[in-house]
Amino acid sequence: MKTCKQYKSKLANYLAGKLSTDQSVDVAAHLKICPGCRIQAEKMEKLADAFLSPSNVPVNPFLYTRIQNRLLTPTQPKKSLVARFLQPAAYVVVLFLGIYLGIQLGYSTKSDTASSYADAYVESLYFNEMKLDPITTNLLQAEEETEIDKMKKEENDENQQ
Amino acid sequence: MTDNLVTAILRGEQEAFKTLVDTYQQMVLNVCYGFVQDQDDAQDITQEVFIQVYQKLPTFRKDAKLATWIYRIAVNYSLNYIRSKKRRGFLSSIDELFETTHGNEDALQSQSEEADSSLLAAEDEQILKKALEKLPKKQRVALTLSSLQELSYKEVADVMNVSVNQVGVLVTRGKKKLYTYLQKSM
Repeated sequence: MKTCKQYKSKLANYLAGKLSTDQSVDVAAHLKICPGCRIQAEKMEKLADAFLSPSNVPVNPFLYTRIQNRLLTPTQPKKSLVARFLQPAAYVVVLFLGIYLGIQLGYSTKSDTASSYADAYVESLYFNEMKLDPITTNLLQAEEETEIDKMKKEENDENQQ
Repeated sequence: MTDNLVTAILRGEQEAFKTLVDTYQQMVLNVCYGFVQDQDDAQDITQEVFIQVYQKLPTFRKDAKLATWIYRIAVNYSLNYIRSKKRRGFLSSIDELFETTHGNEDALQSQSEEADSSLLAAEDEQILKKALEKLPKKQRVALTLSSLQELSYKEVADVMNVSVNQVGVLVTRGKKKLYTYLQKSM
């Protein structure tokens, strides 16, 4: 006595017509008495029939008009890879070049006016003064002088004694 | 008749092209539907097939059968469409991950109402589509073409460039695999 599991394993071959006559008769007899297997076989057959025995799909009455419109409308040719990548890259390069040149131009431009000469003179004056007479030098000198004074004072004291 | 039709189209007679579309529209639509299992998609592919037919007609060799030639274009277009849809499906599934559901309550409600009424049919459709997707390409083409009433095994063999015996083998194996996949999906 075969089990339902054994019959179910033969269902695909049975429905595809790949079983021998004896085996087909055997499976068919089981399907008559077993509702579980029969329901499964019927569902498989129904699904496959939707694909294997299709009815006509309703046609679109405006298909020809749609095709005509498509044929009359020229399609835009696809841009090549070079055009798609090089063009934006060239734009970016030109943009950065423009910004760089602008900055360089701003730095290099010097106006020869009276005030610009005066500013340059004052800058150099401050710079020279700071170099010749820095505060630190003054402080160091003052410290050295006080040290020398102290030492002289001590020497004098010793001599007096 | 075919020769005259092709010659007339090549001469630029639009009426002849309309006759060609009217004659082969149903069969192209059935082929495309057999592959994509969606009426709207099948209509779109059919349109593309006829545009291709019109543009490639100067290259058509008159020793071949026009119907076979058109079938072949329809099969190639449908297979390409399935391939590109798989790719798009992957990308759209990524999009869906980031999609928000709020603000679409009306649409969702109407969707759920539709779903209630056609839940079983939609489920069956998905099972069939998944089973078909698993079929090897040649078996799927042979099964789809042989399932159309208009085509004999000889014509299927001509479209596929294989022998009639091979078509028979592909159809039988394809059917067995289809039933097996359907059983596993249920």
